[in-house]
Amino acid sequence: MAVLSLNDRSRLVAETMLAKADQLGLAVHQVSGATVLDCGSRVAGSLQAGLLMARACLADLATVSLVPGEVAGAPLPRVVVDVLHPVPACMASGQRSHGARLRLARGGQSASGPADGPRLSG
Amino acid sequence: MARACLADLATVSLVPGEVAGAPLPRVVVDVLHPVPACMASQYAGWQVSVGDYFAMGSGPMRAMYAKEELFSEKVFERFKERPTCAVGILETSKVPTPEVIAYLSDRVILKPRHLILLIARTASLAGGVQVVARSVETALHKLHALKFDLSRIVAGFGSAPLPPVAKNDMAAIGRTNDAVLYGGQVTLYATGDDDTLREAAGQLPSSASSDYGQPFGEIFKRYDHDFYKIDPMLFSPAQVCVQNITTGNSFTFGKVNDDVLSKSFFG
Repeated sequence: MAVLSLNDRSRLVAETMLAKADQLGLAVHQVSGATVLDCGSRVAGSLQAGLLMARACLADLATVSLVPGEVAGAPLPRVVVDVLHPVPACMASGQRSHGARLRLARGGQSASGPADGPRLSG
Repeated sequence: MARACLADLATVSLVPGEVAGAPLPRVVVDVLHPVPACMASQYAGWQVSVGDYFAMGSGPMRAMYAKEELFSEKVFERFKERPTCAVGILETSKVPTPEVIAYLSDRVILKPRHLILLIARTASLAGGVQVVARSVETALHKLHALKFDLSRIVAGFGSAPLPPVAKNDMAAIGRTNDAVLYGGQVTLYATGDDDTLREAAGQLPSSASSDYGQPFGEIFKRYDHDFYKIDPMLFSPAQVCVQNITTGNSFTFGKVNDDVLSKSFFG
């Protein structure tokens, strides 16, 4: 079985997003040659953009979907994640709280995703 | 079929659900661009009537014909289009005759070979799903009837129970309508001020209609089977939660009515 790095897996999700950028309500920027997909910073984005963003963040090692839910009698979608390989997906890629936090001088943005993650052998 | 009807601007899926203790799938729609997807495409606004052939017509072919009154309004005008292929959805038990194909291809101004029609009767598995996938569309349509500015709606998420297939189309029309009217739950994401949003949301659920409370089949019978005598405000989901993404406030109105669903589906 071919082994894809976490980053290669996420890249495929990002490429899907790029191909559907208009439909998903995304803005695409090239900054110093890097590709920046704005899913909701300066654009409206969409729920589906969020689902794909979450999938990319999990290195495509999970399905992420919305199902009907309810809170205090109000219909609210629930976000469902079904994770194939929780350790690489959640800890080496998706973790938002500790290791991968990126603090910039003027803001409190946090970064997560598969950058520099280990290879998954499958 | 439902996805094609929404011009692929939504995902449509089935999730487990329950009505009156019976496991019934729910049809879930997550709509990316509600105005073109639901109003310019999915809304069954084209009554295809040729000789003794009749079908409710929907799908993106409506945006090509674009002669419905709706398309003369500014908010919808920009969704008129002239691509090289037309796709239509017909709710019917009859395969379209060559006369029906000629009628449609004349109106979309394309040769028949560039016309694709997806057909299903209401009393069928696919026909039931594509009708019940209209929970968000009914909410949008009612907001439009309430003169609400639809450009403020940026996304929609809805679900409704998939009823058992009925023995005939008339009974299936009743059940599929009830699925949305008494079992549909919709979340809309909107922008702008709270006051006008709250006011519209309060009138949005089907319970705001004077005809609410009985299975659709009984209401239809009460009005001598004249669809147009039924209060148009009835056609909307059972419950709506309208979220203002500008202010962060939400407004929820209506509720699911299991008694009517149970009577309609299993009575």
